[in-house]
Amino acid sequence: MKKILFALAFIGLSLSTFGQLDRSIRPKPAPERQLKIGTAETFELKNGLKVIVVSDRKLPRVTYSLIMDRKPINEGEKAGVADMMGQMLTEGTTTRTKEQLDEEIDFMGANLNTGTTSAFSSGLSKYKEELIALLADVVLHPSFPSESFDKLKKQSESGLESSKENPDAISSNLVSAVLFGKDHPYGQVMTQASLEQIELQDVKNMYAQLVSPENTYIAIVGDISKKEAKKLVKKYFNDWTSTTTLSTEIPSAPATTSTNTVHIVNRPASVQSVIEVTHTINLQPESADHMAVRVLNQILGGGMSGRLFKNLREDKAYTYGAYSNINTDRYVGTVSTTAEVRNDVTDSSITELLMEINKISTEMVSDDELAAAKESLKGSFGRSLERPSTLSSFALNTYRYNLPEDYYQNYLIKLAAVTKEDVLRVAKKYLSTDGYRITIVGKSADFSKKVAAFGPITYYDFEGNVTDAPIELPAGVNAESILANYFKGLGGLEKLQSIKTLEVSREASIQGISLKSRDVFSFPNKVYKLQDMGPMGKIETIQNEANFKFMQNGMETPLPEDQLAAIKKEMGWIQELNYAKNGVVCKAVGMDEIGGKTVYMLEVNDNGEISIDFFDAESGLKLRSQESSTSEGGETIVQNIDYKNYVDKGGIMMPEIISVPVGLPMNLEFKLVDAKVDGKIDATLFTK
Amino acid sequence: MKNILLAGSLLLGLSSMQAQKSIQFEEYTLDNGLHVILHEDHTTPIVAVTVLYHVGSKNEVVGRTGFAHFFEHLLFEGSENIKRGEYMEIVQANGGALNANTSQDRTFYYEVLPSNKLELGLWLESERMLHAKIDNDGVETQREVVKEEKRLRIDNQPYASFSENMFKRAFSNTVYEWVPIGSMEDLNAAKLEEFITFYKQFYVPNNATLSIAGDIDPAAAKELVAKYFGDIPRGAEVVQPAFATPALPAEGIEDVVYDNIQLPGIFMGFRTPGQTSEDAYAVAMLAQVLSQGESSRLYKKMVDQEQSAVAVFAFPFQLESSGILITLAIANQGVELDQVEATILAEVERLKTEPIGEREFQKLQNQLESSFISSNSSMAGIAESLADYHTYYGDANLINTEINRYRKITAADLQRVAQKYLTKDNLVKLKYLPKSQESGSL
Repeated sequence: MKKILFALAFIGLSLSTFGQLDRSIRPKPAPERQLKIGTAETFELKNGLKVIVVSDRKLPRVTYSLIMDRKPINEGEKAGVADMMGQMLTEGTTTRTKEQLDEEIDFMGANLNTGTTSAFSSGLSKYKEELIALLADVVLHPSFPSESFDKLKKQSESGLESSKENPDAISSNLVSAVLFGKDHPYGQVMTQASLEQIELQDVKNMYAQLVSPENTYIAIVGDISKKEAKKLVKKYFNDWTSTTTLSTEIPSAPATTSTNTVHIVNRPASVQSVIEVTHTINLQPESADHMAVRVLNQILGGGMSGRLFKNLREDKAYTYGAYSNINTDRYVGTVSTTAEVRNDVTDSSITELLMEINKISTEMVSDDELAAAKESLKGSFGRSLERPSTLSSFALNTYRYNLPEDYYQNYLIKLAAVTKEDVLRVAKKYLSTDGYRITIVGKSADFSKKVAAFGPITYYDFEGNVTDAPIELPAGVNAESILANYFKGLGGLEKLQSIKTLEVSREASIQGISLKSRDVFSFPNKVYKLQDMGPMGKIETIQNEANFKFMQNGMETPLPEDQLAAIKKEMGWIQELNYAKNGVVCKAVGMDEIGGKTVYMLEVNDNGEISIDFFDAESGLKLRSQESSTSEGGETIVQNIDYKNYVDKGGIMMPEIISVPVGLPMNLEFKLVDAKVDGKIDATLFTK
Repeated sequence: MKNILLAGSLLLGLSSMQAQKSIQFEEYTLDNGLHVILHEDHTTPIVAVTVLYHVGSKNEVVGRTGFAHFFEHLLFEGSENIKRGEYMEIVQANGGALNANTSQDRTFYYEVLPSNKLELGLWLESERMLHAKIDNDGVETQREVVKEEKRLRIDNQPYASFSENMFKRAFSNTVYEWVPIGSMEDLNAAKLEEFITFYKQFYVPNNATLSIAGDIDPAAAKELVAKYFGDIPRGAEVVQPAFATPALPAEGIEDVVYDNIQLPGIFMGFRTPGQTSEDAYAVAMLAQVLSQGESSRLYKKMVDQEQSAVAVFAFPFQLESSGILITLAIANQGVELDQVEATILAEVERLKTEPIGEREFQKLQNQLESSFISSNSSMAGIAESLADYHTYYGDANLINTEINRYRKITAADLQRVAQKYLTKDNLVKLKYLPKSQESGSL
């Protein structure tokens, strides 16, 4: 017994010393496990439709993906029409209304989506026939109801309105416009203007030109056999016989630049700049350079191990993330590096992005970096096999890009074969031959001076149209501050709001005729305004609490609603005090000079009517009101009311002269005759 | 022997032809309190190694919010045996992907690696748990990164502040008042010692679940788990904070937020019970009725028929101790926000007054069936689900049975739950208006 116990104890002891863990040693991997790339089965219908089937019985679900291979569409003035067509496919068919379609899909807990050149349905495999039936119905028999068209148009308008404030949407528009220009399909984005051009017939024409079984594929993945799939596809797609008539003109690649250029959309509310440093390249998916480019991209900016991430986030904490993308495309590929960084490091971030691009194009990457990148891509490839959709896209790509049958089987072999020299070669070829377009969406006042060093700057609006450079107001100057300073300059908001009565008389003379004006106020809501034109008559407008009266030459004259409304608004003393109540919206839009004084420009939007008011930067007082209109001949007519020479009357500043244009060579100058603040007034005037 | 083997392989063949019925797994607890869950699946040679710590923003204190999420960042900074910046590099250089997320209730870390690197994954997570590096350099860097994250996700994005604003009002003076990203002022004010204390308090094995799913050999995996986690010392017991849903005024709360937007939006949240309560399932189904799919009541009415909204959603934001059923809509151009608000509230009333019809009710069940299938289709997803179910419900097998809790609900239950929780005194209303409407209001 003792011997056994001793032996056991000895074993126990050695086990425990054997088990002492040295955590400083990084564990080594176990033997690698084999990747299985399942095979896809294919067949073709007589009408040209090509079908790919990947059976995966693990879960009781199935996905149908219909992809139409089409050349890029030049939509010209109607940018967005193809997208609308894609959306309208689920708005109703010849046998189902949208409501019925939605009901059928949702009842199965399934999904059905359509796009310009694609359509997808997915759900539980017990519904495999219903899912393909619905897919076929929307693609082959859309009904394009006009109410749906109107609805989508309205939604698109709202969407465009919304995107005005979305920095990512703006950046996308900007990059498209800058890289490709509006004449190239890739540069065309839907705008308010192009949306207006789109009619329902255009959508129907687009359908007729675009949708057919030619160069079209259906990938079926999931709990289904090739036999079942073939039966279903034939049943629902055999009768599809249309042909495409879309013009096959291949767009020419956009011009590149030899030096860097800077392109900015000013978004004053931004706390981060959305930066993209990018240019176009010529790189097709089937190119022999593709694998080396993937490795290059991984090292430069592929995820958390990329140089860009390590530099801009981990080292400098400029950003939450910085990445690169090198995109292949049959017609025009792109290289792009991106980051969203806080405003004050916009220029520094661009410096780093350019530096990293330059470095990887001139110096060979290290062995460690190369190995890590390849291992990362290998792992990512392996992980992607978890998704059945990966196998269908492998099969699709093999078909579409005429890849060798064993392309994906050999993926890992090709990947392993990439060398440092390959990476440098493709970096030089694709990263360093052309200048970069540096695009920024952000608060340009915070960085425009500094980024000028990178290249000539062009400004754009949120749609990607070239526009003027923004006027930069000093920090802290905005609508609120301008109005606040105005009230202060007048005598203080408290003083203005505390006055009980006010009477102001003015006089002007023109061509021998004397005009008198007299305004009497009993705050808050009793006003008497007189315009006395002597022999030419007099006009009185009276507000007595909620009642309004308009009198001409002593007789009450009823007025049409809109004129009455306009007059009501003018009954206040200082209009600015009533802006909120009247729904008037203001925006500080720039700076100017009047009579040698710096003035801030305030755009005043009175429920659609726009005017600009000019306020003295120093005194805060209003010097001018400006209205612009267009004449019949298309000319812009500008009319200015000027407020000159403010004087103090009972603690309130008032303009001594109000100069009003009346269509004559000289203005009418209303001089201040008298002003009584909190004096005695004739209350009977309000009850005339 | 041959016959048995043949029969066996035929059987195997048969079972692999049938769609997976239930997710098999093993679970046990180490002496130090670490709960371990293992799921074996040889479809793809990958493994998800995940650790869930039962600490979230609700474990923070006023004045020091944002800690749990901050830790999510800090735990990528390295450990005693892993240098700064190496953690991410190691995973990626070994063909893996990694990430983490933080909620009000828990922080979840995961790596998905080639399956022959399971030991590496376990070593990495054990390094984090045992002796992560919490030092000034890391703290300084990640403070700036988190600020950028907030700017990116919230400050620069239209409408994105709604959740912060909603929670502040719905759960004021409770641990759910603030959202995980917390406040920049608090993070700036926090001292290194406070971070270290937080780590020692919450990042302990008795507060964690290690959940592994993928191409593993369970016996070998268990040995490795023991090797790397067995001697991590147990920490003090973690007491989760008490929580009681605070009362709102009888008329609820209503507020206006001015934002950089063009279209007004409305966000309305009804407080609902926590996710572990029975009624939580009915609440989730009510959200489905309102907005899942284009045939749903809100979508159909507001986007398709009336065209009063450009987008409308209802979703159940469910937490451990409470929840908010949030309905939101962005008004279509030229549509008054009041109209949008009234339409949503009318549909909410309908839920209380009209029992849902049979076909619509069946639709909900079908939608649930479908989503249960998809949500457990990846190894990382399965690992996370198992860990969540264990942590919140104490029953990892809910990954297979939770759907039954939904199946038990009747149309009458839905009506009852709507009447109970979708009431005025439970409602926080936020109107998001364009900033341009704010100026001139003097």
